Amino acid sequence: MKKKSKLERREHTAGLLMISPSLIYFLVFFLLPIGVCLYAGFTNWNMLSPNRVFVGFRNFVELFNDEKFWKALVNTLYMLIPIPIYLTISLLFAYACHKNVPGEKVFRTIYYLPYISSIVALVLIWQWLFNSEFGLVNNFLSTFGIEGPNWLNDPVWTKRMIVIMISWKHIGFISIYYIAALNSIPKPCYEAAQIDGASPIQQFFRITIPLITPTTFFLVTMGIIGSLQTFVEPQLFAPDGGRGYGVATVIFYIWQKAFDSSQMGYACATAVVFGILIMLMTILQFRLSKKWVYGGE
Amino acid sequence: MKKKLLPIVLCVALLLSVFSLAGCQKADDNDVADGPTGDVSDNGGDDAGQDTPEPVNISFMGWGNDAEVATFQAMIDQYEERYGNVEVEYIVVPNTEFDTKLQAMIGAGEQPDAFYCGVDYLMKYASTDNLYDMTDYIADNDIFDPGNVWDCAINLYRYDGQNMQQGQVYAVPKDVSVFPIVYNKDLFAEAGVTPPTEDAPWDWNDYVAAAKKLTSGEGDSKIYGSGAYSLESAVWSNGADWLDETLTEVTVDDPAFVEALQWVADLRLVEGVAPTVAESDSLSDYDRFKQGKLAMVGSGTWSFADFWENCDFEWDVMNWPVSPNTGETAIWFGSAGLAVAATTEHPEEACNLVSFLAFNEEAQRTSYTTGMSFPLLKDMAQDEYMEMDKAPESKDVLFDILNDNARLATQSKTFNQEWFAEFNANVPAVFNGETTAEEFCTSIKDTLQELLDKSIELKAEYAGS
Amino acid sequence: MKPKIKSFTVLVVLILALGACTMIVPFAWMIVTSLKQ
Repeated sequence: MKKKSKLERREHTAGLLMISPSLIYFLVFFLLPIGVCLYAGFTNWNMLSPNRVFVGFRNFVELFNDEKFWKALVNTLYMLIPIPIYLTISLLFAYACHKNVPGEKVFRTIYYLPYISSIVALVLIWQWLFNSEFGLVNNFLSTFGIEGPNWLNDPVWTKRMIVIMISWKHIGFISIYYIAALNSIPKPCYEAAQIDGASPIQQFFRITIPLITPTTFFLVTMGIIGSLQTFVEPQLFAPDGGRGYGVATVIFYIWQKAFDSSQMGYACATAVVFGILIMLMTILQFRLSKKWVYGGE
Repeated sequence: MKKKLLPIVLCVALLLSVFSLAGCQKADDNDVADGPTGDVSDNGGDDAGQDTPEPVNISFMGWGNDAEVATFQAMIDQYEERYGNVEVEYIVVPNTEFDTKLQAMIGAGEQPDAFYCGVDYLMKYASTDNLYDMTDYIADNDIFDPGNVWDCAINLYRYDGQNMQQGQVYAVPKDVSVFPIVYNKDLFAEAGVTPPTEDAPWDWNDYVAAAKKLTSGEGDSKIYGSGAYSLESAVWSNGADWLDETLTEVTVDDPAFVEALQWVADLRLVEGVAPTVAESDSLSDYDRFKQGKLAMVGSGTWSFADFWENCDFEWDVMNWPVSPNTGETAIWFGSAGLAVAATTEHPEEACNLVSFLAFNEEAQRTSYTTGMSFPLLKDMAQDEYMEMDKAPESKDVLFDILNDNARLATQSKTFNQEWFAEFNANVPAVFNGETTAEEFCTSIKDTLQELLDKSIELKAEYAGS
Repeated sequence: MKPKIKSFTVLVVLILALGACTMIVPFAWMIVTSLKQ
């Protein structure tokens, strides 16, 4: 056994004390609930009754047999569509700002507005905008002779509308990341390319995009984790899950089972399964990162 | 070795301290909720025998639009005046979040002493022992006379462990709403249609004929004769139902059910007297009626205030047409109740509060004069309400419905409503003409049966406590 | 030396302005419709 000097010990203690708030926070608000959730997934916990019985894998078996769950899963994967959309548009917008287009600061402020607005207010506005008879969108389309679809009640179009809304909302926010990333590309890279005769477009695709892949990787990974958990928009636009359960996402399904049907144990089991799924996708992201991320692990 | 041990020990120590702190907090909360009277078992006895009652704090949770909240606040103030020692904390939660919040509070052991309880949820809460049994209190209290309240209303909140509408009473109705057909008298006069009367009721064919006469115009000036017809009324009038009497079997493939469903769909698809599903989605039948573009719509007594203010035409109510096959008619009626938590420490005060809010004459008067509901007290309904000089003129129709034709919705009698939600989520396909009633009912019956079986299983599991 | 205003820049600004409209239009329309009542 090594003899420890008093100083060493004091430093250790100091270090531990300094990280203890974060540690406690992590344990209490993350590890503990996850542990409880994992345990609860194996019971038939119902919020209202003190009975709580261990039921083994029953919840999980039921989950895999439930058609609604699979429908919700498909709908959830649909919610990944906004990611490439807003990443592309944000990048283009960030690039324009990076090139100091006139009015840049004003545009950035305006584009940022949707992200900071109350989601409930936004949904209310969108419900009116996309109303199939009186909404602005369909009226606008009809001036071109296009008959607008029933955005709010046809689940196919409701999903598309939600995708539009999410893309629209994220553009301003994501562009902040890209502006920072663009700023961090060293100017000499561009200068060297120019000297070698690269056109601006070539520069964009051969220098800019590859060098910002770390940021893109971060945004894609966080975007996937976040999009898979889409809940608020489906719940507000289609509180019953939409016709044929066509709008519900997995988190919506969990919420319904937990609070409408009071099957908290079952909901926890679903949450565990879905959490594992997200974790696997994230691990996959990291593995793949070596292939395309500049300086990736 | 020692190097690794110290951090582990510290972590465990931190964890333990966090847990014991959490434990302390909960105990403190309970102490505060107890109030100065402290010991739970003494309460009942103390209140009966004391001269100067000890101060009591109870919490009451409900939902409502601004008008309702204001009315309730006024009634709570009146209650506090009458029972000077009681202070009520009134918590307002939006309707859509109410059940979630209540369940979370129950799960945390912090449920309010008194709260709104929708009739759909009664079984759920009663069977899991969360509601206080009010039967004895109702029989013997000094706020109201149970004989003066509509039987069907109080019966709604009975549950005997197996079935609703019989057994002990677990909540008091805070209102009862009747759901007649409201019609536009001006449009009727223009089209030369005479409304039905008690002696000369309509049947479905009369209804369609009238609706056809009332439908006119094109595009923006289109007027529809009818709104979406209540499926419940059609199905029950035809002698069918979603479930059988024992509530264990799904009966939507019963030919009478299919016929009723198809008839309702055909009002839109074949007869063209009701707005299409897409049209209803963009402008609800209710709003269309208010704008004078729809002649007959099913609507509840809660909407009268809205009609008084926003309809610039004369309107009245009529009963639902009888089925030509049975000569009978039926319609659902709704109610929201007020319940007391089983674990409340002040049952007497809480029961007094809910009864006061539910049956107090002033409160009832305010409620019906502002067009919010139909009086719960029989004598008030039969005297004052009938004399009230506002639409609808045919108030006797409301009585008839309540006395003869009103039924508790089938889905409210089951432990959870998942099977009904599944039916409703998919039935628009019939109203759209995408599938026929027969195909739909046959194909969905098994899914509904599964969900129903599941809810019965759950009930057995949880009610076993 | 003042830089010339390139036509490409103008195009970009127009597109951005269009985008900004889509950001604001929902709010503006809401205000307008509620004022109409």
